[in-house]
This record gives sequence, C-alpha cells and structure tokens, in this order.
Amino acid sequence: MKKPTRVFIQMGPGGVGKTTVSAAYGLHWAMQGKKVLVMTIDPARRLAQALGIANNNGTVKVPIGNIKGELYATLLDHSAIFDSFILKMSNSQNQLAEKLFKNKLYQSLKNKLQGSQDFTALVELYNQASSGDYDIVILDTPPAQHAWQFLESPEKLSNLFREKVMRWFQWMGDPKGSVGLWNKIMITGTQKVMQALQILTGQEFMNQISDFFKAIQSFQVQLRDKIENAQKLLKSAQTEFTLVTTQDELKIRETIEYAKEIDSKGYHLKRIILNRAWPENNLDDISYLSTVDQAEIKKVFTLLSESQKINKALMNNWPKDVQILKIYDTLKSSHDLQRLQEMAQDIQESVK
Amino acid sequence: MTTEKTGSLKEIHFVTGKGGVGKSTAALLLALKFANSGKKTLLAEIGDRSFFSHFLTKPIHYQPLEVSSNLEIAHWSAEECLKSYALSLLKVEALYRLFFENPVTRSLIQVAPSLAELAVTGQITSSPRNHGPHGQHEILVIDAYASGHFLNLICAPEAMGETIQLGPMGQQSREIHKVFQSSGICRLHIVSTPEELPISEALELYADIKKTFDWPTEFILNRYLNTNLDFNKIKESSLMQKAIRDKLMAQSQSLKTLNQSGLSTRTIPLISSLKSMSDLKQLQFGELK
Repeated sequence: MKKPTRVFIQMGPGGVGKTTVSAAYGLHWAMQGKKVLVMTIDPARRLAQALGIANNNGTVKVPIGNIKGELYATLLDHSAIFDSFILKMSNSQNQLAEKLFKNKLYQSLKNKLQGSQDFTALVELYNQASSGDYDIVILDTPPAQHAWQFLESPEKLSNLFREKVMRWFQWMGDPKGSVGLWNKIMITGTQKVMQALQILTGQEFMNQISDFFKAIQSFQVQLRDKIENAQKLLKSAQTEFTLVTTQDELKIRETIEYAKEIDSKGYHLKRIILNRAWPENNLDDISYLSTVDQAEIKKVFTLLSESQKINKALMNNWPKDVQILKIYDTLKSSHDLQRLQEMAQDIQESVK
Repeated sequence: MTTEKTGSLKEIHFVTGKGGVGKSTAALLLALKFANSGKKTLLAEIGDRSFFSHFLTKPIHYQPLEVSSNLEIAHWSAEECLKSYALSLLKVEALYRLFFENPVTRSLIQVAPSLAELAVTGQITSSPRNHGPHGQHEILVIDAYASGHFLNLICAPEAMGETIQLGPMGQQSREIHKVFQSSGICRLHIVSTPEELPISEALELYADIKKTFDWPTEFILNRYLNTNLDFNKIKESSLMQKAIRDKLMAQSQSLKTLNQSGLSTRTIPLISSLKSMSDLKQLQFGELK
C-alpha cells in the first residue's frame, strides 16, 4: 500500500519569509525525488510569478529542470474554494446555495475574514492530503497577526456552527415576524442579548445574520464533519509542523512561544527553519581594503555581530528534540527560481 | 478618562509596514518626538497583544498610561474597543455584561472580525467624530497592523457602510470612513527595513492605500546601516564578508527604489541593542541626502 501523504504545516511569525522558505523546503524534498505540492496563500508577486501561479490558474508544475522529483505549487483562492465547497455540499439544493451566495454576510465572511481564510486553507489541505496524488503536501499558513489564530480557527468555527447557536438565529427575520412565538421560545436572557445585538447593529444586519444562519443550517453537519476531519488530520502522525523564523530577537522569542503553543495543543513540532541566518565566522583578511574602509567594515561587523549576541543566547531555549535547519543570508542569485535552488541547497547542507 | 465637548485631536498618524520591520519601535520613536516638541501625544497599539507592555516592562491597558512627559500609551485591543463602543450605545452595564459574556455573541465576534475592525476604527476616530470616550491629546500615533491586515482595517468602515444601509452600525461606519477620507487629519508612515521584499511590499501598500485615501505619506527605513562603505569594494573572501557585502548591497538598492518613488524617507539607525526606553531615547531620525 502507498504510504500516506506527509503533511508539513509551515508556521512562524510575520515577515520571516515563510512563503519563500516553504517553496524552498518543497524544492529540497523534490530534489530527493519526492512529488511535492506547495500550497500558498499570499506570495509576493515575484515569487508567484517565478512559481508560475501569479495568474491564479490552479495547480501548476514549477519549471525547475534536472531534479529527481517534481514540485507543484498552488495558490489558495479562498473565495473560490468557499463557493465550490458550499456548492458541493448543497448537492441538489442549488437554490439554497444561490441564496447563500447573495447574502451580504456570507460575502463579507468569505472575502474579508481571517477565519474563513483559515477554514478554506484547511478544507483544501484535507482534500489534497487525502487525494493520494503527492508524497508531500506543504501548507504555508495564512498571514495572521498571530500564527495560533490559524490553529484556533477550526474550534471557533465549530463553536459558531453548534446547533444551539443556529437555533437562535433561525427564528429571526421570520417573515411572519411573530413576536409571540419569539417570546415563547427565547428565554429572557437570550432575548436581552438579541436586543443588545440589535441596538448595536440595527435591524438590517440582524436580518442578514438570520438569513445567513438559516441558509447555512442545511450544511451544518457537513461543515462540522469537514472541520473535525481537518482537525484530526492536523493532529495525526502524518502531519509535521515546521516553524520558520529569522535570527532576530523578537522573532526568536515569538518562535519559542509558538513552539510551546503547538506542543500544548497536541500537534507535532518537528523542525525549525532559521531563515537569514547570520554566519558564525570572523571577518578574516580585509587588508585589500583602504584604511578608511577597513575601519568602516570593522564598525559594521561589530554592530551586526553585537546585535546577534542576544539572539544566539535566546536560541538555547529552543526545544531540544526538533531538527534545526539553516538558510544563510548570503544567497547570490537575483533570479527567483535559482534563488530557491540556493536556499534548498542551504537546507540540504544543514541536514548533513 | 477626560471627555471633552469638542475633540482636541489634530493629527492621526498611522504606522504600518511588513511584519517584523520594527513598526512598534518606529511608532514609539515618532510619538516620543512629538511629545518632546511639547504636544500632548497618545500612542495606541491595536493588536491582540501588547508589545509595549513587554518593551517597557509595565502593563499597558485600554486606559492611557503616562510613560514620559507629554506621552501616554494605551493598548486598544479589538475586544476592549468593542466593549467601549457597546457600552456607549447600550448604556446599561448589566446589559453589556450579559452581551459580552454570552458564548454565542463571543464566538460571533471572533468569527466576524469586521465588527472588531469597526470598533477599533471607531475608537481611533472617536475624538474627531466627537463620539464616545476620548482624551485631550493633540497627536494620536497608531502602532497599527501589518500591511494587508492594515488595509483591511482602514477599508472595513467603507465596506460595512455600504453593506449595512440602515441602523447605527451602518451610520457609524460611514462617519468613520468620512473622517478617514475627508478630514485631512490622517498621516501615514510606512516602515521598512533596507531589504528588497519589505520595500516592495511597502510600495505596493502605498499604491493600494492611495486608491482610497489621499494621506500625506513618508517612508521610515529602520535598521539602517550608517556607513559610507561601498559594497562593490568588498570581496567575497569569507562568508562574513559576503554577508556584509550583501547587506550593504540590499540597502543601496532599497535606497534607489525609494528614491524613484519620490516620497520623503527618514531612517532609524541599527543599534546593537534596543531593549529599553533609554536605548530608544538615544535614537534620532536621519534624513536621506
């Protein structure tokens, strides 16, 4: 039997080059002969162009020649995934899906909300990982203010779709508008809360919420199943978490917190990739420079090395049982695919 | 908190940029300069977690705390802003307790953060709109979210105002958007490090914001290496020399790119350790020649 697809979840603080590193890490495995898919959400334009996914054209093979395996990339279009997910679930009830698509709350939930991005990323991850098409699927997590928002999103969503919550809103915006029925059903506390919500938001918003919940009610069970399956996948042994970070005090501190968070939630942290690692060695021979320039380069060297001291001390607090991989900040090529190859090469070196 | 009849606020300064470029440092330095020039300044951070509590090693909450002369700092988390907004509308403390302690409304708010964005932008504009609690500050510096998230934040009121035509929420949204768009009090500071990716993200963000808001804008180049050394002269004879050469090359290219954009740029020099307020007080903005 075929081995289950390995799933790598790439997390880390903002601004560490998570997307680029994820692509390079995918390439690293493709160079070992694996068939790899990198799923990314918000790549910088140039990286997207280099990978061939800038035009949002589904899953494409990354044009890198002379490697043993294959590297694929896909851009997660969460709006489209959300729609196709709802369509698939509604089956024969197409009008229901149509009605939902027109709901303003659905539109704003779909387009603007972090929670829905996380959700679609999970749905797509689950689909790709269970398709059996790849040896390895790598998910570059959505840019979030804090990475653990991503881990919390399934829980938050399943809270919202709990049956009890649904029941609340189903009664609202009822065309009969029966106040008597409303009163009978709602216990006093709930009624007060709904009143408060209405004062805060207004009747139109309440109607939108009510329509939204009524429409989504029929998908509720499938939604919950999907979220639970995704959650199971995240916690299973086939899923390995990677933390991507840089050699920067705040990033290292955040990484230590993430590592604890991942562990305490029962996920498996397997490696840390240190991007833009600062070399350990000395300045060596600078006698070819003028006296003035020698003084300048020494000044810069001292400044940069001093600012790394505290970081090195902090890195001693990283979890002991994870693999540490390094990518040095000295990559030459300005061509993006070649640069990815150089990064993958650095990862290779640090595995040895 | 002092509530005045008319808002005293003259300027709102938004500080944003790619994650990890040092937005908070830049925001604090900016606020410090305003305070030093004698202006009553409030620095507000709007993320879930407080950076300044960690940096200043004293807890920063919703209520402003004076940290040096003329300078107060507050942490306006979305939740606190929402509470303040709700309380100003609901008036009755017990009702708002009931509302916010209810698990359903809590999870609704968590999944629908445009409510949170509205509350945060509502808080930021409370003085010019003369709405809800606001202080006596002349300058408000917002240590804001990173690029994309920031764009969502400032565009949320317009989207919500269009979506919800009736009711207080739609009304508020349109008022907030109006302040952002027409009052001429907003200023934008985009922070970047002298590296290619943050710079291109900064320029993209600027172009995106310009579509909706015509705000006076400057770039702040953080962790700038103050040296006349020409990277071309450095040979790649060791890994370290190569690393330094690359850093200087990236910086020189960043400066070129920024120059072409024609926007004014200030620098914050890299220093070996930036751990406390007294480290920060040593720092000066530099002008680019």
